[in-house]
Amino acid sequence: MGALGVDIEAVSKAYRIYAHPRHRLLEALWRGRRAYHRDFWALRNVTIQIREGSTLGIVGMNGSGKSTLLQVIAGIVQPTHGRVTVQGRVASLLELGAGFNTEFTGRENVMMQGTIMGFTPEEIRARVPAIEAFAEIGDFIDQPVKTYSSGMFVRLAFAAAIHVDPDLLLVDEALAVGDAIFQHRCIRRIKELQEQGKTIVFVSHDIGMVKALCSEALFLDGGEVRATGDPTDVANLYHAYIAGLETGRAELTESTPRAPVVPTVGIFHSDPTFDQRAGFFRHGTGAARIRDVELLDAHARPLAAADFNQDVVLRVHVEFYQDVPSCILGYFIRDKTGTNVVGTNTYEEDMPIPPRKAGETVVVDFRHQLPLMAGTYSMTTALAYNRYSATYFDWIDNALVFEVHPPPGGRIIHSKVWLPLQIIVHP
Amino acid sequence: MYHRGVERSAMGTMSMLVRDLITPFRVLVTHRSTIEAFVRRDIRGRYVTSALGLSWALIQPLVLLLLYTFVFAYVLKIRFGANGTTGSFALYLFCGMLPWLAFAEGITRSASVIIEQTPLIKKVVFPSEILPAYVVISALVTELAGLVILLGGVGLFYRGLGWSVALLPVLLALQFLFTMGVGWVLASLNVFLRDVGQVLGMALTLWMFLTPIFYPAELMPARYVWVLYLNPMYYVVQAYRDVILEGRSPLGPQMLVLGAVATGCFVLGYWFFRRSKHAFVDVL
Repeated sequence: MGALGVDIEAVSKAYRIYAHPRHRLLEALWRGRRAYHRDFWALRNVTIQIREGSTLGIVGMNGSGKSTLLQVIAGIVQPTHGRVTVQGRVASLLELGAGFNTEFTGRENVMMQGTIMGFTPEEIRARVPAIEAFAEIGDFIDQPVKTYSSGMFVRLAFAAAIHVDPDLLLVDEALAVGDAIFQHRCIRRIKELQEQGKTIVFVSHDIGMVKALCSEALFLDGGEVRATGDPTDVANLYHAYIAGLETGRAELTESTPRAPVVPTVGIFHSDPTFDQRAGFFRHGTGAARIRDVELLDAHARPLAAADFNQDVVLRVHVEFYQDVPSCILGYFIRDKTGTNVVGTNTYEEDMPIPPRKAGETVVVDFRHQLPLMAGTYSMTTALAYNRYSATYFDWIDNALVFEVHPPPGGRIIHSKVWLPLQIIVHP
Repeated sequence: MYHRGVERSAMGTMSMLVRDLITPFRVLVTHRSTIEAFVRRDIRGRYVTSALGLSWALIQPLVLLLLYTFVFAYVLKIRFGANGTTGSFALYLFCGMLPWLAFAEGITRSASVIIEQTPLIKKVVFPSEILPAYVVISALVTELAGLVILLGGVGLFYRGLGWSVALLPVLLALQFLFTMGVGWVLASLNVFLRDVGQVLGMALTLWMFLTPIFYPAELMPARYVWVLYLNPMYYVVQAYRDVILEGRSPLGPQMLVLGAVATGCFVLGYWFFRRSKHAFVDVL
């Protein structure tokens, strides 16, 4: 545990909303003896400590207070109540190219941005080569920024902003820009900063990014902290929350209609402990439920751990409580950072699940090899209504957790996934 | 905030006062390289896209000078001094115009600079007090270009330049302090009450005509002379004329008044800005 990087203590922020600009003047003239505003609370009693060197991801819907929280940490917005203590130099990527003037060249704008951030001209000049290399805009660096494509603008702005060597970096959705290659480099740069022990706080709509990059996550809802902790758990909760909003119910309730279990397929079974295990990471309408998920070997024997590249069966048992004309069953295998490593669904693979009546079941096997790097993996599985809606019968994160052993003979897999290949050496 | 007054001892009050007086100066010194970068960009930015470039900084005041000279000296036959000519009128006018234009430009742009730079206020950790500072300084730099022409004109075509010209930097400094103080107040006020920007144009026109720029101060009817005395820009304009045209040092008491008013304005303006700046981001 490192030292405390950011200490946010019971922070609340109220914005005064006036029905008319005139009311602001009237209120100032009455010197607080008469109120003409109503308060809008963008943050309510937010408390979180961020250790030095850790990365906090903030998720939440639009208007949940994410950006306000970043502004408060940056010191741009003063909290109405509470206290924020920040150690070290803060760099904020709250808006890319804030303060850029498009009449000037890229180089001039980079210099100016450095000045705005409080660097001396020598410090900035020392950084310009790295910024140029990162932005990869070539000779355009000496052209007016107004001649740039939007992609070039973003690349330069990001490069300039991220090469400031801060102790605390604040990033607001800024990563959702640029082409895929550039995004990868941004992520790599953030990982570099993480390795250097920098503290990072970032806001993102991309749950995958939060899971992949963060050591901690915070879920804000209506200005209040809904959950903090392990990014995968928080992200799953958030995901469940969004899906819950769409279906109009956040959690699967016990009043879910249950029909008696009448197996129509010989191998269907339900594991009574499964619901218990899945409960926390589960959401969906409950008109059909996943009753068990198994990892089996080629002979249908259960596995707790798999060998490298072993033939396996991921078997999902589903029970229907209503008549369901069509549905899609899908899964992901995730690594411990929450990145989806492999996964697909019955729609994409063109293997439709036949119509089911209430009380019927279905068992689906996904058979393939596991050419994965050694480590812990989890399986997420979901039963969807159709490919267009984010509504699910049942969605279970961490339905199954398993190990993959390292390959025999000291062979090293250098990447998450190994693909069968052929190497030809032309002498 | 509230218990501050209670804890203040006599010594504390003194040192507090000294600190309040020094802080605005120190802020400008601390951020001088940032201010310089902003001024450079501002001046270049204004002319970088035009074919004639920086010459516009001179062409605009010269055209105004010609126009005003035609109207006031040629048509209305206003004269400075006992046997002034149209040429000397132009120099007197220019002498008053230059500080006035810099002042008017400085505070007009101050009033809008925070709103224009909203992205910086909302998204960057940034000392916003330097924004009004850079527009005020930028206007002064433009004035310097005009001053070179004025001094050249006086040196070549008038009675020549005296040693008193050495006092010009002091004058410019006092003018800066006054403009800066007003600029900070307006910059802040306009964020909360956009009407300030609307009123300002009108107020500046009134203020300009109540300052003896187009006419000698002596023409002001005696019963309204107090209007001049209440106007800091009157002292500025008179001092410019004393130093540049009359070749004498400006009157001591008047300079003392100007110095006190300008410094007071500067310190209070900073205090006002400082007190209100944290609320900018909530309003913008």
